[in-house]
Order: sequence, then C-alpha cells, then structure tokens
Amino acid sequence: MKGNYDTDHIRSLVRPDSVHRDVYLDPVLFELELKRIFARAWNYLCHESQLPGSGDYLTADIAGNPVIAIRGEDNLIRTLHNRCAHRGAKVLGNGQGNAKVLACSYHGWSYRTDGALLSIPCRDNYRGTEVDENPAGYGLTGIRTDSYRGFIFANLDADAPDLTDYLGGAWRALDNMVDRSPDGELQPVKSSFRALYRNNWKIYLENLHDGMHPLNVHQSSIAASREQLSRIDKTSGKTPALALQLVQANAQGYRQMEELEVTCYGYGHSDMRGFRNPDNDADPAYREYVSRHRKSYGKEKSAQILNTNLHNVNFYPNASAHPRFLQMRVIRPVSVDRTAIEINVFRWKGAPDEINQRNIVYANTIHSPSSLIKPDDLEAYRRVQEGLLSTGQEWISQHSLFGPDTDDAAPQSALSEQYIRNQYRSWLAYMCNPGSTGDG
Amino acid sequence: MIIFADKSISTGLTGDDLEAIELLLHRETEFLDRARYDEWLALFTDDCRYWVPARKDQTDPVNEISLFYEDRDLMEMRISRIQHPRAHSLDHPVTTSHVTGDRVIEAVNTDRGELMITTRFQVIEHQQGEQRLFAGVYRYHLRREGEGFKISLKRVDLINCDAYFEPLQVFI
Repeated sequence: MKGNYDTDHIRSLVRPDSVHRDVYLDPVLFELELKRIFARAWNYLCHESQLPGSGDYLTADIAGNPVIAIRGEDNLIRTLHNRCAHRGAKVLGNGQGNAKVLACSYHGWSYRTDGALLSIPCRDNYRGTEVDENPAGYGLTGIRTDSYRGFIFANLDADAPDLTDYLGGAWRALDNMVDRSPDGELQPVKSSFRALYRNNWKIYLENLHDGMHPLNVHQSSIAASREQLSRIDKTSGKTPALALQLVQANAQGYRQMEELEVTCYGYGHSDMRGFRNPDNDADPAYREYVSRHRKSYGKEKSAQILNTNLHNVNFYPNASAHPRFLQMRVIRPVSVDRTAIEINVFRWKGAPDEINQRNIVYANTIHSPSSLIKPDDLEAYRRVQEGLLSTGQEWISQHSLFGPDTDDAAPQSALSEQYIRNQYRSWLAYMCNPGSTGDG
Repeated sequence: MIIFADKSISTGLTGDDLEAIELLLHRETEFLDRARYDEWLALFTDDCRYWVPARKDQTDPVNEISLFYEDRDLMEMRISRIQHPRAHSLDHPVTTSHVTGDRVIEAVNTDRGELMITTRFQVIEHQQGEQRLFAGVYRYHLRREGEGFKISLKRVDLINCDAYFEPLQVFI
C-alpha cells in the first residue's frame, strides 16, 4: 500500500489477467471506491411496488450517504438526501414507513415529500438571513432518480450516463422479472433478509457466476441433500420437497457448468443462464400459470419469456438479481472487509399462489441467513479476505479462459473468469477518472 | 417451572403429563447444547415444523420469507450437513448454551391431545473464539403420542429477527 493514489498507481493494480491484493485490503482505496464508483454508478434502491402510496418511503445508503426514496403527492418516486438543512440530522430514522410531511426530530424543520422546505419553527428569527431569502436552498437535496420497469435507481453524479445506457443489455433480466407476471406487475413480499459478510464487496460479486466453486465449496450441502433425497426415494409415495432439489442443484459437474452461458455487458454488469430448469410441465400449478401467462402475452411471446431462465445477474457495483426466483439484492460496502447484503423477494401478480410460494422456498432455502449453502460461500469469501493478508503473493489470478476481453466479446461459460475481468475493466474506468472536482 | 397462563385453562393433564412435558422441553434444548441431534430430532413428530419468523407477529410461513422454515426432511438435511466432515464453515464447530424460563401453558386442546407452551430463552452461541447472543420466545406445539408428548412445532421469535445476521447454521 503505497499511499500514492494517482492514476498511474491505480492502473498498476489491475492487469488484464490478475489484480493486486491491495484492491481488497487498502482502506484508502475503499474510500476512493465509494467516491469514484458508488457515487457515480446508478445505485438500485427498490422496486416501485415497495412504495405504493403517496408518502411511502424507505431509507438507504448510497456511497456512504444516508438517503430516502419516497413517493410524492404527484406519485413520482424521488430520492432525497436524508440530512436536515438546518443542523444536519437525519430527518427520517432508518427503515420503511409513510410520511406526508418529513419533520426533523431535532428542531422541527419540516419538508414536503418532494424535499421542498415546508416550515421552520420561529421562522421570524431567520428574517434577513440566507434561509429567509433563499428557502429553495434549504430543502432536502434531491438526487438524480430514474427507473426501469419499476426498478428505482439513483445516481449522485449529474454527469453519469442515462440509466438505460448504463444498464445496457443487462436490462433483459429486469424485463424478465416483470414479464413473468401474467399481469405484468410485481408485488413485494413482506420483510427482507439481511446479512453481514466478512469480505470486501467485490469478492461477493466475483462469485455470482462462478461455476468452478460449487463442487468444492458446497460439498457438505450437496452430500446432505443427496442423502436426504435417497432416503425419500425409499419411502414410497413421497415426493421430495422443492427445497431438497434446489440444494442438490449445486451438484453440477464442470462439464455442465461449461454449457452455461455468462454474458458480460458494459459498466461491469453480467448475467448467467440458469443452470437447471426448475419448471415441470406435468405440474398442475405450473400448467395453470402457463395458461394464464399465455392469455396475457400470446403463445409465442409467453414461451420466449418463460424460456428465459436467468440465474444470478450482477448490476455492478451495488445490486444483484435472481430473475427466475424473483429476488433483488442490494450490496452495501461497509468497510474494506465488511459488506452488508439485503435481499427482497417479490411475487408475480396474477400467478397462482403455489408458483409464488416456490420463490419463498427458494429464498428460505438458498438465501436466508440459515441457508445450508451460503455459510460455505461466506467462509470461502472470508478465507480470501484473510488469505490476501499474506505477503507471499501480490497478485490474484483471473486467468481462467483468458482471451481477448473486449466489450463485445462473445459470452463465455461459467468456468471462465471473463466476467470478473469485465468488472475490473469497469473498476479501472471509474477509479482512473478523478472527475471534474479532482476527487470524485 | 410449569405455570398456567390462565386459571380457566382446563387441562386434563395429570401430574405424570406435566413431568413428561418438563422433561421433553428440558431435553429439547439440552440435546442441542450437547450436539446430540439425532436424539433431538426424535423429540419431534413426523409432520413437525421448525420455524423462525423473519418479522414480528408473522403468521404466514408459506407466502412470506422466514429465517428458518423447515419440515422434518430439511431438519434432517441440516443435521447431516452439520455432521459432514467437509462443511468448511463448521471446521470450527458452533456450540450453544441455552437458558429457558418458566414454561407457560397457553392453551390445551384435550380432544386432540394438543397443547401450546411458551417459554422465554437466551442462547449464547460460540464459534472460533466469538460469541453472539439470541433472545426471545419459544412457542411449542406439543401433541400426545403414545405414552408421552412430541413437539409438532417449535417457533422461535427472536427479538432481533430483522437484524443483519451472519450465518445461522445450527438450530436456535
């Protein structure tokens, strides 16, 4: 860690096929990532269905900034800095709720849902001051907000590209999530899973299309589910629960992983084809779902939507999705070696309950804090974070299926580290741009 | 100690029944603390559920997410995973120590041989030199089976069910 963070130095940390361990360890680089990456990227906040009514809000964090996403009286969802213009207190405590007026709990300054200053106690005492003459400058500062298919994103950088340009082809995952609803609408499932990881935020994103790890990392849960399935096979008339099959799905060999397509997009995004079609045409609930879906979209379009089976999707740097089981995950970098993840699950409006309940089973089994699978992933992440403290090697290998990595490179398989190299091309582009203000 | 939530609860429970219930609930946490999982599972009915809601007052485990919602198959799978030699995240085993409060009989359905009991708990969980604390209320549904009782539901209401968690690997 050299303490010299000019562009040449930052560039020297990333090679086409490997990265320097400092990018996972150096707290100064971490702070710079907040300013240059998270404060310039479109940060996913929530889906509009989570804020159905006027005044509905939730609090979030963008690059260390406390923010509020709130639906205004005009039905627009805005993002505001959660910082009173008076003495700086957070106007809303953390969480979700409804507020027609945003009143600061400290001295009672209050704001409209669009952030405009509404009232100040003892207003006369401000006569002749800047507050009196320029009240527009004393609201809750707005943040650039845009949405795609109801997914709300915010960006602290006025110069950032438009959201659709930023998402590039990765929008197909968001389309698929909504289009799988026979009514074309999502509904949020109550509560969320919150997890704390002992690793740098990038280590999480680098695992999400990693087809090389399951056979090693997930040995224990693969063996446990296999054992359980064979026990059930011997009990006549019993169908193994979906949860068991989902855990067993990790037992894919390298050959099967090799057939999975991972597609990279600009700005570090990527998606991965689902590694197993969980649908069964003989299942009555699924047939009912398909029949409702076809009624809405027509046979051909419906088949096209339902055959798009995407596993994890990365929206670099702050979000990940699982379109097939309808999850959005928000990634919050806490410190250089701590990351917080929040997972929300949705329902497809118009789909049979039984179909939506499978998304709950998937979330409970695979992504809850009690998951039988995740602890071994987190253990691997933590071992990377701790292993990198070693001075024995400076560089981290990303050589698998190394090829000419260009923005329009052909999709590779889940055995390739191409998507990680793609993330680092984006990392470099963000980090080597000091911005007009000198430091982002 | 076993107490009744309400004097009007007509129990039909004998002194032997109350003794059996006390022993059952003692074993339920004791077997967890001793990692005697197979004996622990034998305390449950075949159609049992182990449920840790993700939010306060959650009533629906099917249409809402839960921290745990496991039937016997999933409980068995968790146990085999805990016992698997290559469960990397358990290279350093998780150990627990439970303390529970009074057992409060909340309701009895004599016809169906079922009763509902709550008890407060505190669990200290240890792994690799670090400890964390869980607290809240257990809600047990017990059912008369043969000579004694078995657990058909163990519901764990954590006071911090909406917290950021590190992995929850063993039963709370």
